[in-house]
Amino acid sequence: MFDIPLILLFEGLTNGAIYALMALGIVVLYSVTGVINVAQGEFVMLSALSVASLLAGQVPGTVYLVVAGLVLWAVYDVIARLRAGQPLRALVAAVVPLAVAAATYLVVVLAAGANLPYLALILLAVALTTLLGPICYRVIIQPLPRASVLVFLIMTIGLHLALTGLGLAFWGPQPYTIPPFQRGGVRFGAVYLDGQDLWLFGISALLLVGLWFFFGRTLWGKALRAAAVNRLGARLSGISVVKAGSVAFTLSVFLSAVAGVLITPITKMVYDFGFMLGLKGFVGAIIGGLANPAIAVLGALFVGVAEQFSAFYISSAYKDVLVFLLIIPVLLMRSLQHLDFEEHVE
Amino acid sequence: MSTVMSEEQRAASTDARLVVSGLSVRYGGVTALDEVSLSVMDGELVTVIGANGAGKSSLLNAIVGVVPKAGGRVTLGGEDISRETPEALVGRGVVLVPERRELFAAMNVEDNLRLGAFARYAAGDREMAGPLATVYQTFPQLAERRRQIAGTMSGGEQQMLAIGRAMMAKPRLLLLDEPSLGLAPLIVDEIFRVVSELRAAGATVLLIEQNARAALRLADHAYLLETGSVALGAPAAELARDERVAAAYLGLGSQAP
Amino acid sequence: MNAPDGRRAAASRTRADTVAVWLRGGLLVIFLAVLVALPLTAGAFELRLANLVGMYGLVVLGLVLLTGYGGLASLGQAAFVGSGAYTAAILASRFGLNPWLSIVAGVLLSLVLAWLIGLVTLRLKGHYLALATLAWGLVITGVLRNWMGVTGGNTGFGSATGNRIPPLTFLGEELRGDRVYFILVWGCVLLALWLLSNLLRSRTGRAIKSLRTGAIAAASFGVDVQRTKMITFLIAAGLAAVAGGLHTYRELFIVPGLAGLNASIDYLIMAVIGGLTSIWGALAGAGIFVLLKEQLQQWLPRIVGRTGNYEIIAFGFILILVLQYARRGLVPMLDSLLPRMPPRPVKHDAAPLPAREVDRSPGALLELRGVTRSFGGLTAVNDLSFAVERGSIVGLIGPNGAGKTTAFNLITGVLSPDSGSITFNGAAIGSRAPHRIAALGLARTFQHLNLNPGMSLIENVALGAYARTRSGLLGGMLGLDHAEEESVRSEAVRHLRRVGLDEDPHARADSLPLGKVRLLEVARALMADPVLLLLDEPAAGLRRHEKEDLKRLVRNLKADGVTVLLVEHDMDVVMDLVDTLVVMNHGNKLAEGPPAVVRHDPAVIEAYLGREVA
Repeated sequence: MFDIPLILLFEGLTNGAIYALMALGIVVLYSVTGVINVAQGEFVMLSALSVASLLAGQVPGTVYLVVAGLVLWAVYDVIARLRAGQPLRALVAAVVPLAVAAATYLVVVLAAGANLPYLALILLAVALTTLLGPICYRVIIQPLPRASVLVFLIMTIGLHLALTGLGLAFWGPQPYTIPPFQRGGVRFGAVYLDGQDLWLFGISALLLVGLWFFFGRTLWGKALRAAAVNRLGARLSGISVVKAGSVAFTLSVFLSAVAGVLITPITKMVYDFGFMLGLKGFVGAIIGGLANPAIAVLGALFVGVAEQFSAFYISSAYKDVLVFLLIIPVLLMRSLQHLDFEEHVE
Repeated sequence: MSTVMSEEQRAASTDARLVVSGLSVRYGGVTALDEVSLSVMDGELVTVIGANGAGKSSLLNAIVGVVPKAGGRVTLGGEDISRETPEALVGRGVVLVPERRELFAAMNVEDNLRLGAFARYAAGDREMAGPLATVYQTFPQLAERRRQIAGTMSGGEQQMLAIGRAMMAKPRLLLLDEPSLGLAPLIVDEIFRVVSELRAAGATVLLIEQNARAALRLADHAYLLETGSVALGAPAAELARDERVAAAYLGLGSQAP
Repeated sequence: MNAPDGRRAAASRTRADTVAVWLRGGLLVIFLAVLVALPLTAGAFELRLANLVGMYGLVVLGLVLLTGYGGLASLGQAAFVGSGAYTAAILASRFGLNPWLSIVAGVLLSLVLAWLIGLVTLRLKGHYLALATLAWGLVITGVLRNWMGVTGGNTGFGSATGNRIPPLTFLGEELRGDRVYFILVWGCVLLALWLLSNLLRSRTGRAIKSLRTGAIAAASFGVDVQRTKMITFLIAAGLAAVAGGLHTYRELFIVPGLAGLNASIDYLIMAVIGGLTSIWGALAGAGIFVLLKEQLQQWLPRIVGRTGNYEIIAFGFILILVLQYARRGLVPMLDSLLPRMPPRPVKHDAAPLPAREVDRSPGALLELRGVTRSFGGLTAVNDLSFAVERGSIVGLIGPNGAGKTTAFNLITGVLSPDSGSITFNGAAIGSRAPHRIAALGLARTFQHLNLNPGMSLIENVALGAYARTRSGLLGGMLGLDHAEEESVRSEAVRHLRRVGLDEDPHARADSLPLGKVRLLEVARALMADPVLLLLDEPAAGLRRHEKEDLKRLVRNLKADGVTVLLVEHDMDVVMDLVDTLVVMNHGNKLAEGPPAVVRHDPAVIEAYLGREVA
């Protein structure tokens, strides 16, 4: 009798775990930098499709993004140093990102040609995509230290458009898949969990624990939280808010990149699929008020499960609609809690 | 050394830890600070007093780099630090305890304190236990509330935490922005006692205060700030006797435009 | 200013004004000429694009009003395009409603939908509102995609899928083809342009513009902020719905993508490129978008070697670049290169606005009794009681953190007291909203900037008269408010003169130094014809002679019968200006009385100079 609900529950938790990783990435980034990253889902797509390319012996388009981004980084840094009247440091600023770009390109090209084990390709793809984190921060966020949350939001919409289009250009509109980490599975009564599901839960859980430890027990993690909680206080304690923002963006992209390689063996990946995942992760994050990671994770798991149940029992066509309807009352509650009596200009 | 030096002599002295020359701060069309010069000798407690709106907070904020300088120079032990960021200055031992304390309200006391040491921790000096013990000894109330969330503490306790957090950075120059603000008299007494102890232990302190009497009693040297300029600069005992201090605070007379 | 200098300055201003009129007028003429020429000379393809620009332009006009002027971010405007389009299509096709009426019905339904959505989401702030509109857009699109029976789902609705939509007819002729449709579309655009320009210059327009930079200030002058937000939201939704109806009858076939998130993002891109704060920018943005997309769709697939919508890459980068380097957008930037349009002259003989009778009878005008207010564990104001006598000047002073600002906010309705009472002219105002208190004759200035920097001095001051004037939304849009506007403007100049800011009343507010901005706030407060004027640190940032001018102004106000309550730090200003001093510290009242007495009160001295430390 409980067969169907149980299957739906596990199906929901599987998706929910992915949404949870996205939600966590969104919350970490927003709380430290005030950036709501509409492009969160695109990094899922990029890492997954990078693996697909590497498996096929091809150079993934992601590396061109990284190289271009690093070149821009060098340009920005050089200009900043020249403006500050430090021509020598400008030279160093030019060399480092360019060197990294060259090295990255070489490694990726070699890896595409060599017959590396699957695990290595996965690690490479995740690392490559994660590099986009500090790059995006340097090139998009850092130049505008005083922009409002809304301006950042619109800029990440631009990032979403650009990355989606580039995804289409690099990989085309067809779905790709990558092999699961491990074949075979386990049966719990009516529920069959195959190898990928187990890896998904396992790695997600590991990441969650790792992050909990990082933020809760290490001074570095606490410094990130401090930058999120009180920007000025953090600076006066010697914490560089710029570095904190960069680390936050990197973490955020890393979570998406991992989510990408975990989910694709199960559901396949298309160039625009990441966006929908990101949106659902959003709902989870918003339930957590964009600030509470624990509730964001629970919220995301709830979204995953609610999605499955409403698809089966109410209507599978309207399942997306029902998920997004969830946002409204949550936003309303959250906004009421943030009532200031001094309204500020955006 | 009981010779009284002029301001120029102070600034030129090898004992000068902090020298501010011609510092100006402007925002909008308002000049908050107009070519202010002052100096702090090693081991000295210098206080800057003045009525509200005199520009005192702008002074500390500009020294540390929280607000931009429209002109002037700040040197630390001879080195120009005018363009340093606040976080970099913490690494150099210049720590500001701001007017609003700026604690990490959602985090507990111990975390707040540990984070005060972040700059030196990241640079390799990982010593935590010793400095923490010193802070807890100085502020027993904090020791009792190690795990309490900072935002739930009273104003006085928060001020103690803010000072304790600054102490964790092993500061060579401590900047205090109106530590007595909004606090009950008994707590104020305690805060000033701690500041006096810190000074006795050899710290160099620049104290901004609205409570002129208490500050002048504590300090070695003092400056009176009025509408963005230094009106008086003298040893604290001298300033305490000067009628212009009362006039500045209570408007008991006008100054020349 | 010497007479010769003055005349020279005036002469060069007149020259600049003439150039401005000719240049800007010329551009307008060119624009209209192009509009006339296009349907006569352009090919079918160009006209198709032109019609798209027009229809998109309507939506973006609404977005500019909503987001650019009103400060309400929306990522879901396309949803109303969809609701307008589908309602019109379904009613005309399935229920045989007259096509013109179906468009009207589409607009009405969209307005109802917007009203319901607005009730729930307009209370949200900033980015929360953006996310909520995103969600609504996704919900509406989802419904359109999945309600197969009614909307035809993803395959679309129209003749091609078995639902014949009859075309629009006018005087017996079918309006088909882009050439004829051009007149309809651009006729709507021109009408919308006219209505919106009128609106932005009107009383309602001032209220809308104040949403962005200080809803609190607007409320203190009588603006019902929630209602104004709703009006703005509805206008934007209505424009989008009209565009939707036009889409339906142009193609006679519609798809759910019309309402989708991608479309909403497109409109946002158009607004950002053209300039979020410019109604001409809306059209420019739509034009650039359509033309650019057209070109990119041709060339990019050739470069990539595969078909696909790659233009989003370009638009993504454009969005980022514009926000980083040219945030105001194209048209505002070009506009700042052109000489400023000469402002409308102020008629000094305009009929005066209704003024209050001055009541000089003795007695307490404002009374606080036992007022207490806490935040969390902190008691900001504790059992505060004092009175402000009619016709007097009262100063509320105290050291930093004493609770003066909280007291101020309690009196003006921004905060409500936890206990105690506040009466103004006999009426209890403790729990009233700011905009209701304003109507009773209370006006205030603000410590932190609460003016609209982009508006002129006159426009900023004019907001102060909001509670004294009547003209509403319709009157504003149709330009029927000339007489009242003239009265408002002439009185605004009078008040600017009173505070000494009448040198260039049409200058932008952000050209004033901070010290003068305070005076502007006073002028605005005076526009409300207040019985009680509350000044929040008016002397902050003023130079010595400016402080003397301020004191003189306040004394003149007293002579005119205005009662003044000011919060101030500057003792030089306060001591010889006020009749009564109320001193606060730690949320309590320390002393109340004439300055000469209070300044010698030991408790007061201790509060300021500090006590001897043990």
